[in-house]
Amino acid sequence: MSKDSTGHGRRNLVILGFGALTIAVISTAVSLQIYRATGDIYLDRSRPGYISEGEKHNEKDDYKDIFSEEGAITAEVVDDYLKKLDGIIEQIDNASGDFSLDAISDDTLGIATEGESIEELGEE
Amino acid sequence: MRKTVAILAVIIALAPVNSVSAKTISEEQKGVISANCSSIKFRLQKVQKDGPKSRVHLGAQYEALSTGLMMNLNLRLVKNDLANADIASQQSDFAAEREQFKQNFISYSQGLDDLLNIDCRAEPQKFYDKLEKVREKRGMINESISRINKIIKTHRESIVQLKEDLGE
Repeated sequence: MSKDSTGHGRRNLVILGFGALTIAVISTAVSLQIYRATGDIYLDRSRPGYISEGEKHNEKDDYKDIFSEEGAITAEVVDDYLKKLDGIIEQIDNASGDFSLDAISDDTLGIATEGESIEELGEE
Repeated sequence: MRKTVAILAVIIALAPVNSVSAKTISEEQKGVISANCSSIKFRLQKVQKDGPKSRVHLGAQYEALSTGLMMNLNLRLVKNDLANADIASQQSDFAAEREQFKQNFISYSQGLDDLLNIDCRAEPQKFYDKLEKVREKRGMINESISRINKIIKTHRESIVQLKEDLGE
């Protein structure tokens, strides 16, 4: 094999390596951008550090067995449904205030000043 | 040309509407934001970390209610020739509002991410403007939760009524 063809081969290998690397970087960047833009990043529970393993295990994943779709409908059955419904309502009520605005108010963030003066623009 | 003028007219007409929500903060407050930038961001990061936990917890309860209860009850009612239009529509209203809750959460999370990327030490006014937008989006999540709670309340009333009807 001549020196010239060996040099060409090495150069082609380097071009191939950089080409592959460039494509990988671009496709990863595009994928991450899509992942963020669609909002999946904020819903993905498998994202590392998003939710701890312990919290994942506390979740009830099998919802189908709570109330059977088979069987008669009697006052007793509906009463049983009502009890299960009340249990879930209690859980929801307990968590319903988790997105209160207090968590990011001026006072909580330490932004409020004495005699805070915020002028509304465009109201005049 | 006419099209360009029309577009410009629309932009000008909408401009004051946008500025209504803009707030300017006092120099004192700008100073407070710049001076406490690190601690403000630390608190916001805590809020950012707690958000997904709350969403997942609420989402799990919503899923249990929707899939485990509402859907199965509707199927059971149909199988017993007792289909109830109110209870069926509550299930679809609930599903639609859950989707809205999810979209509001995504929008809020994106806003919070953007907020944390602003240098509050150098740009306190820009930071505060973005904070106001994030508050608005968090408020929309709260509104979604309220609407979902209202649907659940109506659903419960329908179930109590159904129980009374069956007991007679």
